Amino acid sequence: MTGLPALTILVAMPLLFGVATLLLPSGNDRAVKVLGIVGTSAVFVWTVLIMGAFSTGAPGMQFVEVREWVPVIGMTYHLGIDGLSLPLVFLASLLTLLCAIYSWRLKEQVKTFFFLLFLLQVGMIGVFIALDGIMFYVFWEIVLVPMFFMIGIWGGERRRYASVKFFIYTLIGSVVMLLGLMLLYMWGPKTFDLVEIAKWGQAGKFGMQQQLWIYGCLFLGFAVKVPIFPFHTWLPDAHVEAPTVGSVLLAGVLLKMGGYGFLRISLPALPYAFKYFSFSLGLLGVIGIVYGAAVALTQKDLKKMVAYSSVSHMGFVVLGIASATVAGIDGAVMQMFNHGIITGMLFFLVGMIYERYHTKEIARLKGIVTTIPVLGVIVAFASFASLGLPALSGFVGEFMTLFGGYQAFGWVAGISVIGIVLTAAYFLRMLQQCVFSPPTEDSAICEMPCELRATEFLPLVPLMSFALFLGLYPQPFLAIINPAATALAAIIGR
Amino acid sequence: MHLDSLLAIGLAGCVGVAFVLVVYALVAILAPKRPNALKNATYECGHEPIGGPWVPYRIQYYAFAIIFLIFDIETAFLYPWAIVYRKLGAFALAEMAVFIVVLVIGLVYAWKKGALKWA
Amino acid sequence: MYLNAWLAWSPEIVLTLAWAGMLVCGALWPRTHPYMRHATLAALLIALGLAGLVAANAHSLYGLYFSEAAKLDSVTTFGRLLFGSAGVLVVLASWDVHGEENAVEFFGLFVLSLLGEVVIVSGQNLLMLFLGIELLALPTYALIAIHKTRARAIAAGLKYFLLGMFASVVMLYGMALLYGSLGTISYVHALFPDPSHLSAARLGVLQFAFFFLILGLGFKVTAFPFHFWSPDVYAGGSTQVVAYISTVPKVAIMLAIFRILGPAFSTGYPIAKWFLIAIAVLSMVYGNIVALMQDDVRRMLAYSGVANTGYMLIAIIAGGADSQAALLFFLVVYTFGNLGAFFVVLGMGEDRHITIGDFDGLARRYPVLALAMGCFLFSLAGTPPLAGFFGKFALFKSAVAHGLPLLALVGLVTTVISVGYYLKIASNMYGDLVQRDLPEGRAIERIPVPLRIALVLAVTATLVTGVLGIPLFLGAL
Repeated sequence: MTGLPALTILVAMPLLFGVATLLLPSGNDRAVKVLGIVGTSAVFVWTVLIMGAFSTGAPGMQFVEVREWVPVIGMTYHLGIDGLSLPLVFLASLLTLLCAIYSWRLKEQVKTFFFLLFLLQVGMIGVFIALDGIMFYVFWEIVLVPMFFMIGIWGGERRRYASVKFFIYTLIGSVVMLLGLMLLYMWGPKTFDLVEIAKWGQAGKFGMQQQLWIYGCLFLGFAVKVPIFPFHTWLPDAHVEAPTVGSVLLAGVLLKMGGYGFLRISLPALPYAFKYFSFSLGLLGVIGIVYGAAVALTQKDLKKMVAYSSVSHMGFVVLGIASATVAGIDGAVMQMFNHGIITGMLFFLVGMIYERYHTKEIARLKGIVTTIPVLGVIVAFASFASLGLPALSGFVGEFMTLFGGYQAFGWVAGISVIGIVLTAAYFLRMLQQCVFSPPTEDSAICEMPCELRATEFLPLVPLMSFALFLGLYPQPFLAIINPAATALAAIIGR
Repeated sequence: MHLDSLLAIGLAGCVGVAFVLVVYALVAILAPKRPNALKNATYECGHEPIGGPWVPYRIQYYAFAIIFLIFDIETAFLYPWAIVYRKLGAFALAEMAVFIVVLVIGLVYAWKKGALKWA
Repeated sequence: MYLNAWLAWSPEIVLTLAWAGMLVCGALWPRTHPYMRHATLAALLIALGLAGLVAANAHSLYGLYFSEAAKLDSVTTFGRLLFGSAGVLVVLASWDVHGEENAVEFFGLFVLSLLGEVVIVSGQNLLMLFLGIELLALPTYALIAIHKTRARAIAAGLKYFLLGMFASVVMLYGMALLYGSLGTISYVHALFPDPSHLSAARLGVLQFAFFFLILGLGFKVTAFPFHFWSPDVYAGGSTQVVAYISTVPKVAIMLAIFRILGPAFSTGYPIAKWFLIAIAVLSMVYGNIVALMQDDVRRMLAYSGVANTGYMLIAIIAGGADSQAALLFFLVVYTFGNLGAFFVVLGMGEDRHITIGDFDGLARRYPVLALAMGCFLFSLAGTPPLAGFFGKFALFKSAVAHGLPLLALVGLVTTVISVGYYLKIASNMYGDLVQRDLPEGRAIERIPVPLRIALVLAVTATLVTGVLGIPLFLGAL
């Protein structure tokens, strides 16, 4: 693998597969689906190869590719991967593959769908490996377009409203973030190379006022994406209307881009501002945890409940990032990965339930475990993973971020325990109501065939394995993340 | 410097306007006014006026006027050109030829389109 | 020297000859009317080729011509190529519509206005600028009025003519004042000199004159508050003419404004600069917000044009070489995005209002047309990786780099507003893609092949400038 531009290939592969999808003759849906699965598998295999070749324990970027690109606007072609981005790239490749498998039974506009899926993958992977501000922004925005169409074409009743709201809301954040990137360029080293900018920032060359302004601009972009309370209002709408695959990728990967942005740009380039705002950021994280859980508890719609649980879970990520301790950052990346796995699984399950019962209303769903035992058990498993049961992976990330948060902010971080309790409450209520209670006369009836198909069951297997494996033995992942987290924590001095 | 000359022009303009206004004012004040029906009638070569004064003109008047104007201005261009012609030589001849050819093309077009026909 | 001049201005000579030939042949032999479009297309292609050749021999041909009245440089070449390409697209789009009736007038006037644009861009003094603007404007007044559904088009043309004349006169007044205060009309070396050499009174008159000049030019580029004619005129004229007058003349005059102001402007003339900033900000805010409320797509595009003028003014306010590169790039993007969007509207039907609701389910019935529209919309909205993003990015970055981050912020936020109405169309087109049981919407007549070619070319230009052309384009400037 040495000598090859591994990351260029990684981001070019889905693009080429996407174009190939378009070139296939229309009408042959099966060929498109086969190509979709082959393509996402190829990307996944390539990611695994990169992961294998990645030398764990070494801080700093690996597989770096730097070239001059457009010097007039200070743009470079700079790709690289480190312990922060590798788990997220892996997550993006894995979930896209699973989504492709899940979409085997898609009937409408198959070609468009797989093209959008590949385009989405280009953006998702690109964001995590771009080390140039403009490339970062371009990939960040590319993600919006396929997601807009996924929600707008395959979404629910209010898809037009939801897709436009999603696009505009996140775009407001992004454009202000773009201003922040431009200010980094202007007040900084006159290049968009993020590594150079980070060096500049750590040498203390940004003035304090400048740091605060830039931080504010970047914050808005990242906060909308995560989403941090109170910038989360787009999320429930988008999730409720999005098709299953859209929800999985939205919650699984897109939300992570925000958290990643904090770690990749804000923290290394603006240490003063990061420290200055770290308590407020941590507080917003804690509020998010409690608020998200409390609102989830009141939801009547299953999918909306999972959406709000995302707000709550991403609060842990924010708390960990804000703490800027080794444990906090380790935990934040870990939690991002776990949330991707577990919430992805939950959205797949909600999709399957909806397909069988034609409702997402918690009150009308009853006795899933008696009608479809396999589905019921997996829903229970995913819920337990999500509520942070020890020995499942959700616990590891939450515990580490809480630990980091406690180190940094003391008892304030402890408030988030309320959120954990509420999380347990709404998941157990849901399980009790929908899965384990006996069906009654007015409850929704499963339409045949109820049993899970292979293409539905298959995507769940790796997700469950990861949830279990990382809960029992997170060490291999932590070993990847830790050097990068240590280096970041050292910048802040915690 | 240039401003000063503009100022002079502006001043001249003001004086001109003022003069006209003053004359009108004098007339209004001094002239005797004894209107009657015949005096107020529209003047039409000493005859009794026939029809209203708002008579629609033929659109051809305007077409004629525009074409006439173009060739009128052409003459205005030709005079100064004739004076410096010796100094500029063949180039000036060519330039004026181009100018006239363009005008002729326009004339041919207008002619063929029937702009010169009266009916 | 004469030979060089002939070579250097050969594209314009070809166009002039083509115009003369078309006029004479069209008047003498009516049988030639159907071939006017071929003649125009051929002349444009030849002129484009010659412009390319001239650019290839830049070292011997670039320079000042006609007693420093016109300048041949990279900007002039840029203008020639862009106007020519846009012209080709417009001719293709007008292929069938003006095949027989009024063909001589339509194509003749069209060529004349293209010539006017080159005069505007290459001109080096205010007189040339004025002549160019009139040469451009007079044909466009008539072009608006040439339309099948006469009454509305004539009303629009008359409105355009009267207001345009008024703007020209005001601008001429500004030019006279400029001459009065500066003693020159040439901007070979920047019209606005270093203000430290000027007396306070003269500086005052200069800024006053600037106000009138911008009033006149602002009318032509539909900057707020001089834009008020554009929605009515755009809604009244035939779509391909509106596509043309909403893009190419604006491009030409923007380039001219950039030439006129010169490097001393952005630092030396604070009042004039604030005046421009106010116009830019108001154009962006007003144009986008009002566009959001429109239902008629052509009116929407008219207001979006107002907003885009605001974006272009950002580069002019910022000044400097990087801003010029940004402006040129944005102009290319805007030209093809806007032409393309109007062409789609043209393809959907000529003789009626096309509303946003007409786009309902377009993707289901006419997937390729919808894809093209999507392409133009997302480019105009500035979504990467399409060209529009890089255009806007370069503009805003030049503003930030010249110490105007708040102006960039206004631009960015209004861009988000603009996404609102662009996406409304996109979501209408694609919202019903997977629903089969819906009633069929209004059918579209077969789209003529030349218009299809024009659409394909416009899409290609949008994609190529976005994805591949950036390094080449920005690197070359």
